[in-house]
Amino acid sequence: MRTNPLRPILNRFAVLIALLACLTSTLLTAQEDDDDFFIFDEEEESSSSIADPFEGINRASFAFNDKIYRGVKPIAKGLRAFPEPVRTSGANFFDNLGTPVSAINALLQFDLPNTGTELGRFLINTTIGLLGFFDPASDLGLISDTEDLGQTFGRYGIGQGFYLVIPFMGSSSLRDALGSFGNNAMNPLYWELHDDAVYPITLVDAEIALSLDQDTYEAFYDGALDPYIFFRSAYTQNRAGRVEE
Amino acid sequence: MRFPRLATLLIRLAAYMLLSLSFQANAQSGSPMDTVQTTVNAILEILRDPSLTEETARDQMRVEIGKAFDARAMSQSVLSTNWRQASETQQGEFQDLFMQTLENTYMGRLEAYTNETVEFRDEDISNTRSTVDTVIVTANNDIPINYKLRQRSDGWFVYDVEVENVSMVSSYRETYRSVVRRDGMDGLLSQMRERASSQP
Repeated sequence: MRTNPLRPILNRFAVLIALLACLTSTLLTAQEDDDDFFIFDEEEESSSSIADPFEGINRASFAFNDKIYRGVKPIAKGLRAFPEPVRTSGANFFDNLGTPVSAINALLQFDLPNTGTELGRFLINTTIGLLGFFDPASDLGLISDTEDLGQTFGRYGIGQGFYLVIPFMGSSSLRDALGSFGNNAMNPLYWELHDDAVYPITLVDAEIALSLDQDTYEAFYDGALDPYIFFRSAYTQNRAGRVEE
Repeated sequence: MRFPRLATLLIRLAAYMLLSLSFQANAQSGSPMDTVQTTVNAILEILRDPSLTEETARDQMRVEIGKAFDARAMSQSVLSTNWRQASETQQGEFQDLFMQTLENTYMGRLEAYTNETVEFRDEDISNTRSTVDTVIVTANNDIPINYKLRQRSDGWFVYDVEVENVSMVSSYRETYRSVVRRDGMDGLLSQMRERASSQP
């Protein structure tokens, strides 16, 4: 199992958590079919909410990104003319380029097994996998679990800070935005390439990913009454879950 | 891209056989895994049936969801404190409209992955709660979908679905809370009504 640097802190609260759990479970068993079911969920709120002092600006960025997204989506749809294996290979290639940085982050999180997995994936996929276009590492049981600097910070106990929507990039937070700067800085490729090369490459990477995705964004955008809040909540939960894993 | 290997094929086959065995074993006791597996398989079967029109398929899926999801518990949980303040009529209408929203989104997601394999991985029961872990296995990534269930006297029922750590109930709760704060309960209901009529 993974070493968790937060363990001592969690242990200190263990008694309190256990008490709370007992209390809620007695409440629940007593009123299982009752109207007060939702009381149970009140305490889970913290993982899905985040401070949002710049909501006005964020909402403007969100609307802007929505326009950009819908503007570039047709390219991704066009890419679907290529057979899925071809696009998957493209996505594999980009994933592989990011694997060393993921390995560094796994190491920073004291997660030695995952560090080994990510390093092994990089070595195998770069060689046998022909520069990363194929993913034989997965067939050997080395399943990808990518880590970034934002997650590393989270692992160290640093909270999200507050929510940010960054133009062109999308949902982020103070912690994750700082993390992504550091993440780029760790990548030698980022230093080698000029800005005018980085942007088109990022776009190609994103378009391939979008072509493989089953229109997740549209599905949830259309289903939510206030998509901004829905995606803010989803982002916060997803990141919290990935830090916990 | 993965190379189909004999070994992985055999492992999958073995896993499948184990799953179907446990499925049979669970059928009588009615475990959380049983609820999820029955429902997901039924929905996938409906989706894969080319003889059904879109409308009958939707109707049949709605029946399956109605059997496995605890609409009342979900609605209470989503509305949270606003549930108490709502009148009985409002509660009833919210429940109908919310289930409709959920059906559209959730079924749409399953529809998008009709041709992929769903693996039923783990079942974790503690007291009257349970989590069932499933994964949609696609060529380029695995999508974890976890179902949260609660035990009632008549069996196990789903009260939340988590896709990649994102809980449907939590996400909708935050969204609806902000709408109620701004426009009140009637405002929320009329916006949901409007949305429901624009989306079949």
